[in-house]
Amino acid sequence: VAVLRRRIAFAIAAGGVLAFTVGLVLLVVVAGAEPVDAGLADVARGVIVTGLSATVVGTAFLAWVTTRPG
Amino acid sequence: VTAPEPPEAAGPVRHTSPYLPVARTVGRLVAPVTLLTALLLYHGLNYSRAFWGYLGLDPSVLELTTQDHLIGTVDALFRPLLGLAGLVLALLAGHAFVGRLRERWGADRAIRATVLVLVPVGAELVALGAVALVRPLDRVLHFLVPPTALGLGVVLLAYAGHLHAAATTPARPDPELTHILHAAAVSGLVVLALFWATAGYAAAVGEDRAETAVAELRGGAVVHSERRLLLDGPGVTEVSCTGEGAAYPFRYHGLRLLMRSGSRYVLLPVSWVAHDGVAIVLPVADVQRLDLVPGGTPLQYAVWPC
Repeated sequence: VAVLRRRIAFAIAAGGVLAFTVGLVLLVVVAGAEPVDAGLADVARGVIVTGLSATVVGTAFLAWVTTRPG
Repeated sequence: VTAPEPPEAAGPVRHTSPYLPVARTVGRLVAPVTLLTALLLYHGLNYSRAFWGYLGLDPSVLELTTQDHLIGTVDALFRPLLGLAGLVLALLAGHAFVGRLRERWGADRAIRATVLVLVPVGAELVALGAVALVRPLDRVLHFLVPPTALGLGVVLLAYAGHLHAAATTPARPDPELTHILHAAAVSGLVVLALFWATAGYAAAVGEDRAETAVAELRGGAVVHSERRLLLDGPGVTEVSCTGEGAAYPFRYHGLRLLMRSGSRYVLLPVSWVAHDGVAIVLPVADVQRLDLVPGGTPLQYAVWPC
């Protein structure tokens, strides 16, 4: 169970970092486009916020799992 | 022969914050009042540029005084300062939470867990701010997001570093030079991020206030002049009454008085539209009489015959 918890936590945290990076790249691409695609900009912002939130939740979970005594 | 007295037991060595020497040095080099005035004036200029820029005017033609700029600063800095105070309180609450975690989990576990959370989150926030510095993202992100992300990310990373260092390195009464340089870099980044955020906010507030001022203009203005002024614009009508005995033979209807600034009137045509309209800056000396007509009356749009 502990290993499974650790893997899940790591997956959430790593997925969050990955999503944030993808969102940031998408945002840069959208910002440089002329005209700005409002729909794509919404998607990029959503991916960034989701990625950041997943990073917070995932790393907090990972921190709790990995620092537990025993 | 008496034995020498044992030296007094020294108390526990405590960490001295490396931020203190940085603050002392900055305080010695820069007079706080001078710096504060310069900052207020800078933000006031940003506000004025945005306000008058919305009308297509450069503030330098309006004889604005330092006081005019500083008054705009109050409006521009009120909310950012409130937000900053709230953010500082939130960070202090976070610090208190870490303290409780240390009591509950033990220092080692609490610090490892906190660092594990803060480093990736702080790095992501710094990355967002850094990308926005290189490639402006203000077309797709709210203008306050990049500077806030940069400042907050730096603070989180610095706090994580501080926790890690406090747990792993022995306490020293004097901070090392590298720690002082680190503190100076962190302080500089946070101050620059704040500067970036407040400058952007001042410009946004200036444009917003200009939009409101134009939207709330109700009355009309009729300019009387001895000379032909050739005022033109959507809705502006010239009436010339050049008969004998006319004190002010030229009259201009269809204007609105926005403001008097120094020795100039700033007038807008009644049909002025943002980004495409012309604002009229008229020297007071050229206006022999100015009739102000209340809004909502037929007179506002009427053109009086000779």
